[in-house]
Amino acid sequence: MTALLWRRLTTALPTLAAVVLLSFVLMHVAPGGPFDGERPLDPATRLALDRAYGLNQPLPVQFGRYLTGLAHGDFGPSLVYRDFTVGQLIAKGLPISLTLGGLALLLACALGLAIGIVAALRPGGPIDRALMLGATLLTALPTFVTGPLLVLVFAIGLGWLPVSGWEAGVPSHLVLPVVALALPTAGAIARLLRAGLGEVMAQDHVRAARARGLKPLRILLRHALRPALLPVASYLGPAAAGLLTGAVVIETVFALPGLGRYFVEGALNRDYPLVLGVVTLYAALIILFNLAADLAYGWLDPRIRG
Amino acid sequence: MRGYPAIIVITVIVLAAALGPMALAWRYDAIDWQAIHAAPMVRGHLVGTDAVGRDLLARTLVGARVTLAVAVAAAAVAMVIGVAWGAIAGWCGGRIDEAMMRIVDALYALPFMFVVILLMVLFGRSVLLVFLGIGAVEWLTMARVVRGQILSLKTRPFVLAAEAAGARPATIVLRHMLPNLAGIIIAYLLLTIPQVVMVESFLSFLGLGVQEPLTSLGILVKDGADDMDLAPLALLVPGALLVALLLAATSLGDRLRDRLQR
Repeated sequence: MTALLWRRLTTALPTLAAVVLLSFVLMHVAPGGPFDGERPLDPATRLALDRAYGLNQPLPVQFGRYLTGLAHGDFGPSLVYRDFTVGQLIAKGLPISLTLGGLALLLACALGLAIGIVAALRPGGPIDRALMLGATLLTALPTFVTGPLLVLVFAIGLGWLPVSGWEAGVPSHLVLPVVALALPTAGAIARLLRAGLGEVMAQDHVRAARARGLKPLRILLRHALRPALLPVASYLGPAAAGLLTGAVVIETVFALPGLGRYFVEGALNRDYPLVLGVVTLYAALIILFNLAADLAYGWLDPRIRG
Repeated sequence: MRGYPAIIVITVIVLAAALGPMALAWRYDAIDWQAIHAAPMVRGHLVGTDAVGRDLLARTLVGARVTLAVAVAAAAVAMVIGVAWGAIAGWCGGRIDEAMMRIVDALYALPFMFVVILLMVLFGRSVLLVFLGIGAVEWLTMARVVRGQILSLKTRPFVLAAEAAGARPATIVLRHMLPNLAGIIIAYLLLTIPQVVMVESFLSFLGLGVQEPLTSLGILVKDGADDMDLAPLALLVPGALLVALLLAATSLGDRLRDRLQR
């Protein structure tokens, strides 16, 4: 286990550095810059701006300065939202995105586990088949279709919940975004768990439990669930990545002022530090989540603890 | 028997997208000033028109055409990269294999969507770039699967025989091993297609995919979502087609994979 963790950690940092480098180079190699507006700037102004933000330096120097700042927790100034540093924008957007993603992950796990367990109770039965078809349908529903559909039904049609927007401390604004974001992940978790349970239920220790006359539900929960959770645990890393990217769309659909909105705005406006900051943060989060998934894996499967 | 509905759905969608627009009374980019936001069956618009009076069905079918074309092309790109990567890693083994698969592991953990979004924003929004970008992202699973299969084939007698007969490695991999993997590769190709469709629609939804007057299912969903309180059909028709396509391709790919992977 320590060996595995160590291996993961040693790849995590270079990966993170590679992401930052790749995004940095892409942003600077592409044509167009943050100060290319409708009207060309006066050359002296342009030069002053470039100098103020260090954009006239050679690329390696800029990259070095960026990394140094990053190591001090400084993401640099935002070039488009002139009154804010990237750190401040992240501080504003990240709590919203994390709330959205975290709640969606919880809901997806709860829903997915419930569907998977109920389906596995009677393998091959009508409930099993109906639930699995439903789960496949959920995974095939893109968030940008479910989001507007949910709004159409629950906000415009029934008027139960707000259409979009965000007010701090008003949970009703979060319901539809969280549900829309969670559904595909819930479907994927349900399918993985159902497949895992199917395999585990054919193993000897389950047959022994059945021979001892235990009730099916008890066998499922006490004997089969833990090993069947392994594929689910290893899916949590990619799931978190999917939720973070899905949040970009959800934040657009529901007009939530989260990090994803800043990312799209920043990319469209060539706000180098903002885009780099968001990509770096997301990469770090995803890598952390993969590490957490590895830990969960070790907890579930004693054989790899070592 | 249970794979048939998916095959039928896919066939119908492909045929409708390829031939449908020619059979309709209205072109996808023709504006009918007498029928803005028209209801179904008005003036020959079978499912009505959009906010500027363009035939919704024609737009949906042409959008499906673009989405399908991008999906197939991107999946093909992903297949080529993935098969080559996996075959080389599997055949060479040892350190090379280790290094190549570590790269795949690392790439898996990346927020790739953001890199694709960056690419789209920075280098204009051509259809070519859309599918190259997506293809370059979606090859990882294919590489893993092909590597695993190559590893297990490597010790088979027919491969040893080819080696003993003095065949070059490239010949062995291309002529003797890959034909054995055709089924698995096709199954994963099918599974890649819905993912590519998803990414393409996602990009188009954000306004970063193909551009007007060309359209795609993602753009149509976005347009539909913008005025769904007035005309819910503009969201429902392309949305339903998109979901049907994704569902059919996923379930068919799943079935094929389950049957071929013992």
